[in-house]
Amino acid sequence: MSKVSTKERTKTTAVDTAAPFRWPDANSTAELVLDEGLAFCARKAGLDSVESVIESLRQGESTVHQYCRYGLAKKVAESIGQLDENVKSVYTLDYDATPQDRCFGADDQASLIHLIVWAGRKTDALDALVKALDRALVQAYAELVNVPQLTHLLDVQIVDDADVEGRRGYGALLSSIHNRPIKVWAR
Amino acid sequence: MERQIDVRTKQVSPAFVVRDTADQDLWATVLNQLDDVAENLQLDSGIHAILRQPERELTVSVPVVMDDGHIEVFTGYRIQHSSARGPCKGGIRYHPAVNLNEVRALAALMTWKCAVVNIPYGGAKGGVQCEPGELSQDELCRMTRRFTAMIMPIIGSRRDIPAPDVNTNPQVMAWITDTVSMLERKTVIDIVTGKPIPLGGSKGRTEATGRGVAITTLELLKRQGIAPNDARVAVQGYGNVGSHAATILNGMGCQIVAVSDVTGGLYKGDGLDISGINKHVTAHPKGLLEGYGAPGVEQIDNDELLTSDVDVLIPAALEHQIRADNADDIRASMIVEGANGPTTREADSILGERGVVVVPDILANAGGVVVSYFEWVQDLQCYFWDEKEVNDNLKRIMVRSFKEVWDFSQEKDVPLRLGAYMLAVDRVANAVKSRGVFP
Repeated sequence: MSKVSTKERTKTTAVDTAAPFRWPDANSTAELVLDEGLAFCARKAGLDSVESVIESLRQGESTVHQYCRYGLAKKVAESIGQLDENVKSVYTLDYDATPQDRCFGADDQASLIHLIVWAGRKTDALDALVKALDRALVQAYAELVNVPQLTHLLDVQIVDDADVEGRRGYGALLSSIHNRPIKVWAR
Repeated sequence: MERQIDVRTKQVSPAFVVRDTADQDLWATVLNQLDDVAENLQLDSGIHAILRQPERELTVSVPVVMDDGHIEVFTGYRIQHSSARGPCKGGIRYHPAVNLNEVRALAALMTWKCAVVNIPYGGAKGGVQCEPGELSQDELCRMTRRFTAMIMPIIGSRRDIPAPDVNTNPQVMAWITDTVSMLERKTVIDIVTGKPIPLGGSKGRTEATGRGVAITTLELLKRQGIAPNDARVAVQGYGNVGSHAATILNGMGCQIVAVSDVTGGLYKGDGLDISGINKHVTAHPKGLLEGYGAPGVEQIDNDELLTSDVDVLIPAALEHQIRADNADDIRASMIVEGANGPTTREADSILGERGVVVVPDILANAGGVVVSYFEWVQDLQCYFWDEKEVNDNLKRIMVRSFKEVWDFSQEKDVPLRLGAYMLAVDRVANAVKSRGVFP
């Protein structure tokens, strides 16, 4: 499989300097996430190169989008966990009213990457980290897959111990049987 | 040369042991709910005992040769809670935390769901403990085929008809169909529902649940003496269920004044332009509401949507959205549960005390299983309906089911949720009683 970095494939522009939070290496983290996420997708979808993955994504191939979302979810989760010690575990989930209807709904290419981040406590820093990573990823991914109007790639919900123990909001989903998320990273 | 075999049995990670306790609680919750209903119905203790236990539980090992040549052994389940009213029906899910208690609970819930809409099915559920995202398409296909072969002794078009659930989809259903067809040496398209349309799937399935929610809402409005044109509706969740429910209700004259998705919500006091919103969502690269703007439309968040000044609130997003901490703030006088479990038990009590009418998920979002039933009927007949026929029959069943639950609840003087469960259990109990205990 050829190894071409995201940087070579796309001209990733800098994160908005007016943003309230910038951590030192948003763009390179996003590039790493995309490189590894796409390589994972190529392996699982049975494609011979990352370039084939990108071509399939551009053509809206549903299965490739599905693997790409999972691969990126894992890498985003890993990055968030490594950059914030407060994070305990990260989960990915499919979002719709019922799981049966999820698979009859919109094509997979039309889905955000839904993550639940379980942290010891909700902090502004973690919130800013997630937003910065989303901005950097959107810029890189939008050029790669040729969707310039893309504004979000991630839907990240942060929950704390009280949410999980009290089964409040997204914290309730961690023990849900209907829309059960899958753990993709844990400390 | 002798080939070295590397066999790895998938172990449940400790992280899921905690959840297993929650699943035991869930099965206990399902049993407690049955016990409450049995008491209200003064159910015969023998029949009650029969319904407290699944009819059949099958645990299978699913060895799969992975792409790198090593063998992994997954664990799969198929549980049939009741076949008293007809063949069992229920989905198959792929998830690392699938376990017996979870599948037991879901199988029982399917029994009640099929009974409440009076379709001739019992309840079942199945699953394989795996991480589907980590499996390649080839591995997923091999795992599905082996699992199918292992549960084949108990499934069949007159025994137990699986369907998609968490992390399974029409492609997985197509693999199951093909596997059974190959092993039985004939084409067996009636073995599962939720198939792709070219393989015997039904038209109208995509919109079925949302359409069912809309039909239920219109029936509720009728009982409350409110004309659709006078009804103000808020829909939380603009996915497959919420968007279709909003579109159909809007087409029937209802004012959809608020909608929301993960990016936030939209509000317009005299009604949103749903057709314009649908065009925006279709054009949006991720199918979202964000970025939509029109004169008079305000941006709101999900909490504001839940407490907006409307007649009907349709939670069609995720579970546990209406809780003890926000139930008092809800201004809608009617709630129609499009999602599974959007109202917590505590919130349900608060809403009941306040006189808010709640149409429970077991009835409101049953449109999907009704159209799955139609798919099976069409497959058995090898005669396929056009979409109008599917929609007309769905309407007939949902209208009838709503009436039966409403009348039963009025007669027993209980809330619709309890009434729906009582009616469902009563139907299953009557079937058990009529059939008698074999031998």
